[in-house]
Amino acid sequence: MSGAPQARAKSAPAVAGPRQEPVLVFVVAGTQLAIPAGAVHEIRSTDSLAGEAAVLEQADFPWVRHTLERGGTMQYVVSVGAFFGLPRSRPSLVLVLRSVRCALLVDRIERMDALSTIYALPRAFQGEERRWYLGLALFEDGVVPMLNPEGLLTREHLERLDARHLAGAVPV
Amino acid sequence: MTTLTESVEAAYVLLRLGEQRFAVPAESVDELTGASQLHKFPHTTPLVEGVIVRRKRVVPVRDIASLLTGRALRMHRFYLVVRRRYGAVEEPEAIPVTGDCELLSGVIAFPRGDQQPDYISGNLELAGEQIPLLDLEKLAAAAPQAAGPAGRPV
Repeated sequence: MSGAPQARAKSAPAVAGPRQEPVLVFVVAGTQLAIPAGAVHEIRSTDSLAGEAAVLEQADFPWVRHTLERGGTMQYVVSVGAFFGLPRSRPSLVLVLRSVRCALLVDRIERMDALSTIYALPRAFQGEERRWYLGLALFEDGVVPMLNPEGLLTREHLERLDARHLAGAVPV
Repeated sequence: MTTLTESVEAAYVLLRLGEQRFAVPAESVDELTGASQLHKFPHTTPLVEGVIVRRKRVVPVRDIASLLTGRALRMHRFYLVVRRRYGAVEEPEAIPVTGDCELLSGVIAFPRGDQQPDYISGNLELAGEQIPLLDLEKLAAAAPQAAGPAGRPV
């Protein structure tokens, strides 16, 4: 459409501009997701964790099926695909996160980007995604949501999971 | 497209969703753009399909057709980029539309009918056709409630 309107209502302040940050892009069931590179403490293959993970029997959070004990702290392994309701896939990696009690079960790493441009999540998104995502990373080939490391398991979730865990974890 | 020559207060952009036409105030419209690549990712906001990238801006796409006509647009050729206000902040938003849009000026909007929903702020009379004038803010608020991915408690 050409010929934009000549006069407009008084403009509202512009949205804060994008920021730049190193990110790690991973794939689950064909869906790309990103996470701040600094939030990842360790990347492990699922095979290498076989002796360290324990099965967590609980039905409230079907996307949490295993726990890891790291440095005396219990971490809950979140199946990212199950969390987002993605088609079933074959996860092969666990991203052990720093400073949160959460690890992510993912299919594979797509790439690491030293300096990605991150935009704020548009305000049109009003649901739980405001907690899940820190923003949207813009790449030449697409837009990838950047996970909030603290966004998938809330404090309330952790308290409920802790209660289930106390009821008894089964070693793998 | 008609060039805007008269009062901005009486200027509207006419858009087509399938077989139906609607209008929005011209002052809320940024541009009409050709179909861009739609980027989708998991979220729970009803009617929002994903985002497009326009001039290094990330623009959410809201499918208002399913709310207004009862069905999502199966094919669309353009996005009408409008400006939405969130408190003190304004952000762009793209609406998939079926065809070209038309800019009308000097048209008077009549009050909405008693039976029309809140998101219709009035009606334009054009060649015997009544064209609903949309209030985009109320339209977004009228979307059905968000639902989480299957099986996941909120």
